[in-house]
Amino acid sequence: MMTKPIARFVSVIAALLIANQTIIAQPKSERIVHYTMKVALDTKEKIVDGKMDLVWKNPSNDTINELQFHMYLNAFKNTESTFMKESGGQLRGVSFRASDPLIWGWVDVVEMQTASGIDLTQNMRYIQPDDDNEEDQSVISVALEEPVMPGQSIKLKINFKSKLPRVFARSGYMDDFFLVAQWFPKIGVYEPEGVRYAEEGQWNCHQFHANSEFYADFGVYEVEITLPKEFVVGATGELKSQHDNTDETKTLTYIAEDVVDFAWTASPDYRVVEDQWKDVKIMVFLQPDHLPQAGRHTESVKAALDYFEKHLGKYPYSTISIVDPPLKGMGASGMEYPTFITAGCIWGIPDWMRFTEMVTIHEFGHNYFMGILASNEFEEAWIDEGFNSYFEMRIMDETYGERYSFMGHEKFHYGDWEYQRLGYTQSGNPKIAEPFRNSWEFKHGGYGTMSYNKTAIWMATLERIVGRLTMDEIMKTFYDRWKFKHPCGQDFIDVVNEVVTKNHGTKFGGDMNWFFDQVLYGSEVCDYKLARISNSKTRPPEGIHEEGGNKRTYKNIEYESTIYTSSVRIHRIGEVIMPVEVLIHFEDGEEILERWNGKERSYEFSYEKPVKVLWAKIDPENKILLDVNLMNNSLTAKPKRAALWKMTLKFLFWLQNTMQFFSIFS
Amino acid sequence: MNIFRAYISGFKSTGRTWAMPTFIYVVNLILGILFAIPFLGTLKQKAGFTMSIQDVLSGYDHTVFQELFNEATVYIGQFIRQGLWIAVLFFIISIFLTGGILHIFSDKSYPFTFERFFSGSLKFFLRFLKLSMYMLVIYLLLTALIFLIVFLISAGVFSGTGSEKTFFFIVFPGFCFWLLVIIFFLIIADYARFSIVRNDSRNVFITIFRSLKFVSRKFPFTYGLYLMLLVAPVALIYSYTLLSNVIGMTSGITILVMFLIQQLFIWAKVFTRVWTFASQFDYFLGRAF
Repeated sequence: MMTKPIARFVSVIAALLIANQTIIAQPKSERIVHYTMKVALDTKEKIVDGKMDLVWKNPSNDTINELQFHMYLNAFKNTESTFMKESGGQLRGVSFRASDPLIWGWVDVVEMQTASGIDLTQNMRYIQPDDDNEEDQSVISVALEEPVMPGQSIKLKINFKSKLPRVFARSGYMDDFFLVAQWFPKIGVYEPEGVRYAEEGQWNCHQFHANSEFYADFGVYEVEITLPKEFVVGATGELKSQHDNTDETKTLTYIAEDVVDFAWTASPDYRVVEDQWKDVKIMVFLQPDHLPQAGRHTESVKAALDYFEKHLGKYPYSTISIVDPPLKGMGASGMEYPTFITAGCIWGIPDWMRFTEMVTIHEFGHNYFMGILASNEFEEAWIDEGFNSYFEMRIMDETYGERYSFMGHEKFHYGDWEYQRLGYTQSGNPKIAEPFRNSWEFKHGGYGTMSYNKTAIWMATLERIVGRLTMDEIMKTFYDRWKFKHPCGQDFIDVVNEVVTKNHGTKFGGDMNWFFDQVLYGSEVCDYKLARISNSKTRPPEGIHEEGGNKRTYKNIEYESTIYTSSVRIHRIGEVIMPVEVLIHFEDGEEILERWNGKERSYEFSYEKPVKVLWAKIDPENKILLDVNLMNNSLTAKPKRAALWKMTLKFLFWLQNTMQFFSIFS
Repeated sequence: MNIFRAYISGFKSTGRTWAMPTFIYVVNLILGILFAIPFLGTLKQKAGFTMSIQDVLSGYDHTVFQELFNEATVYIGQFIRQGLWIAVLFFIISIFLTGGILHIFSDKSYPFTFERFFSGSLKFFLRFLKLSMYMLVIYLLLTALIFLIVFLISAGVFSGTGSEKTFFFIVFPGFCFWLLVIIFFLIIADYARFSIVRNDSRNVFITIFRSLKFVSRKFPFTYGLYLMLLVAPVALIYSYTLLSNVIGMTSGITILVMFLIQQLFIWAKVFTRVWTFASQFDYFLGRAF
């Protein structure tokens, strides 16, 4: 049996051997940060005690005199934080009960020093760059004694302590379950001039808001975690080593490279299922009762891995961990961290209800949107959530069937694009805001609808307008150009304009700005209505006409056959203008596909033919998914009543059965 | 009379007086049609000339249903609310008609006539109404009590480390127990009605207690007979589900066929309800208290 001193010696040697080992030979990102951490989890007190070395590189041409850090866990310190005030103490349907003292969370920097021994602890102060809430402690500014020159690095030694809250908003504990996320003092992003919208170099380090997520630089994380040995652990990156200690604890060391975050989980109850997709190791950390549902996680994540490789780029990491939180810890479900996601499933849920698959695919997709294309989730939530929801739609519908992918029962079914579209069109107020808005500025709702649903739907509309091939080229170009960087919305628009012009010339105008001005920067809705179909017999001319300078009456003119003057009228009810196709179907089976620029409030197509117009349909191929009302997109002159009778007779049957049921109690 | 004989004799009695269940079915149908016609009118107005509604013919279309309901939320919500009130009205009417049913079955030496039927309905209506109101209160109290216990157990489990599987195995047996208890009290209500008709009892409250004693004393037989009588409606539901899956409602012909099957189903359910009364009443008369 190893004695304590020998065990300690071995662990030091192991740490030295592991330190600075890399998995990925060639860095994929600029690696602005390098975190080396040694942390210990006290599972009874719910506290993480940490020592961290942080190397931060100045990516700009500016002289940096201060550093800014996110202290996310302080959002859960009390009811006065910006997060708690904005959320009202609840998120994702889970509430905080203020009475229990153990539920609160916080993070403290106990000590901060430079590598040369300069103590910066007293130089820290809380700042509130977004609002005037002086009680909010989710951001600190640290004044430096010596500036960091352009291109140079600073190394800091930070001792910190993190008290995990009871989980209700992604991070925390529930009994013996721990989801440890946003848990350490995390340095903010310094945006040099020209990056994203920065007109001059600036710290972009927002407070933690109820509706915001995160933003960080790429880097390397080497994290050594010590905790009681009965706990099963999963984390970002690769497990490099693990050993037992003599005090009934164990220590695990993880390394993750070219990532923007590091999260981990621990629970003694996990059952781990492993699988493989090419060179990617898949690990699913399941609750014991959910073990039979392991396949739902692995198969859906493999479908996503396949799809993203085909349409965007190969998954660049060697692992993906999927966490299934317990019922009481569902506040941690449905969340993304690099190479590490939380999904969630429910015991007994039938295969045709695909919540688990949808969440797994969605959260995995975030590895691309926000993990590799590291957009600013505070300011442009629509990029990661909307783009990811768009890909989620594509993957779900292609894998499980377009109208069956989300709910797949024969009697009750709908697909992911239906779910996304109805999430937008059937929201209480689809005009509530524009998607392009800081996440905390959705003060009266609309964050989810605009960031997820509407963005996914306008992406799908864009795809259907410019064509799938062009859309794929847009996404691939955007990915290749901006992977492992910080793109912004304008960067995406620039790519769209470039690719669409290359492929389609001026077919859609000089650029696609008209599209984004409406769907991204505007809040109006799109609604075209097939207002009227009319058919009338064409009458020969009557009355007086001029003939050789004399007034003559038209003679009785008879046409050889009946000619109809038909018209199909379309109204633009909404403010959004889209190019519109209209399919006109005549009685003899002839069809004409008309195109209209969609601009006027009312437009009419007219015909003179020996047959009448039977029906007409706006957007017959469902290109404009943004249209908030598809019911008014068509009209028929000869309605078939069968469908109405079917619904009526079902209503009658329901009513009769209800009456009969009540009579049991008579 | 044993329960098997009562089971058969009840069926025969109901068959002989088929006009009774048919009349009740007609009342059910008329009330339903009174609402179905304006429902159809609203649908025609809101979606009659759109092509989208045709998608409903081939099967379920979630987008069409959601948009239609969104378009006509106010109206459809109104119909559903009014439909529930109609069900309450039918509940009252059923109480009225039950008196007639039991009056006919109380003395099979007389043939069925509507005059006899309605005289029984009138004679026993107020007492049956009182009985139904008392029983409703009992059902509500039982439901509250049983689900309170289930809730307390669940809450205790949830404060520990219970999973949703644990909850299911608390709630589901709780629900089954509730169902069995409710059935027991439904049987008590039925036998109380039999007593009121046969003995012309005036005190409804005491009749309920006496019925409770009777049903408890003969528990295996009264409960067993009721469970036997439940087989037919359950089989009807299963058969209807199979038929509707096979035939569907995807064309004018299949819609018409399914409508006829649906109405036959409703008539058959009314028949089984009357059959339940007949069989239990026959057993009661054979073991009268």
